[in-house]
Amino acid sequence: MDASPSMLVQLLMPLALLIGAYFIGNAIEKKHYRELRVREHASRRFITVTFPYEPRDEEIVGSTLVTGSVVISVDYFKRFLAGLRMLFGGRIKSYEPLLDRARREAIMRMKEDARAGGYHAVSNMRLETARIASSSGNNKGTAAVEILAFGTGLKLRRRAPATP
Amino acid sequence: MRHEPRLPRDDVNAPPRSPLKDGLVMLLGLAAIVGVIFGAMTLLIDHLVPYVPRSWESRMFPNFEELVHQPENEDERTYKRRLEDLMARISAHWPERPDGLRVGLLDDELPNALAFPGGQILVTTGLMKEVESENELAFILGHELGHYAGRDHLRSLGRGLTLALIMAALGRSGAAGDLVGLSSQITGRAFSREQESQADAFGLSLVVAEFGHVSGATDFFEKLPAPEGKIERSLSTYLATHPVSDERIEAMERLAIENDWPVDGVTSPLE
Repeated sequence: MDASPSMLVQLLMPLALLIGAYFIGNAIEKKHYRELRVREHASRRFITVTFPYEPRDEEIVGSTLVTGSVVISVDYFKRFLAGLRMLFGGRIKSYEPLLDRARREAIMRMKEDARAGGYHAVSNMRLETARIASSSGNNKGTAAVEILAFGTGLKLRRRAPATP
Repeated sequence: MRHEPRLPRDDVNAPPRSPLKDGLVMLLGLAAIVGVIFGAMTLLIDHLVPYVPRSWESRMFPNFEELVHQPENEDERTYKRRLEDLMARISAHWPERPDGLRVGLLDDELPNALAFPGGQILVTTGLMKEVESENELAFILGHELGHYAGRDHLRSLGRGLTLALIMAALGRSGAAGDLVGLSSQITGRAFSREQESQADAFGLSLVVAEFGHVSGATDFFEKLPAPEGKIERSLSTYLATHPVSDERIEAMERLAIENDWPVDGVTSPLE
């Protein structure tokens, strides 16, 4: 009967972690999406474009670099599903909402950065992703991903009416 | 160009999905695949093992000679004599016995007996202290001989290798692989218990051939502590490498009835 209890612990621990991670991860995701929708709705008129913005009725009086960055990692449950996907192939559906949230959060932070600096719009926005490798280096530790949104914040001023 | 603000959609980049269902389907699929591979491999191993010559088998495993404890006092010399005498009598009832069967002492207080690959049986001094009759000791030796009759070392080795292969194949898949690997390891314990039961049956048949009845054979199991409580009991039923003691006794009682082996008889004292 060697090592029977430890075998049981080895089996039950991951199961408990899975169940815990699933419910906690789900709750956090729902809450984050709710908050995102509110913030996105509030800032929907804040002009954010991916090309050099040339206003019609305003002139650009100032510009600066604005950034928003998010670092995310996966929870136990999502990694469990991704591990299975590594065997079967296909879309890693458990990662998709995670990265979707991260991108939207990064853009929101960038907009908030711009607005806090008194800028009225962001042009030439870009998204970058950087992988932060796990410190253990054996692909077993938890790695993270940084999503960076950046662009040029523009200060706009209404043009003076043309002099006759 | 007019700027048209719009809100990000929730259903494009992260379409609604059911992660639980997704995971469950994959997990069950994986378990089924592993089960089929493991089943096919063990079937193959069990069919091939009888064709492996015994001489190859003993070369496959390390030499266990250095574990043998040489008797140091009068008691231990008696133990050794009893073991060798009974071993010769018991194994004589097994005409297909392999060459190189030997029995020795193992210096350990825990009552236990072990059959090492290649024919070396070791019985602990702790067990020899507790044994009260020839019948009891004969059954213990017969049980260990049963492991050689079943080629259990090779079959276990084959299963171990198959498990290791499966674990290695699942290596990169993280916790899911660990979980499936561990489940198959626990399933493998059922095989171990089945081996033990078969060795019990073989041992009992040798006891009957020697003494003409089964009385006293299972005395040793009654000395083993039984797991207490319902949970411990059911746990040890599924996780243990050996069947629970009273189940082994019951199985052997059934066996005696099926084979019409006399249950009552006089047990022979140890000389």
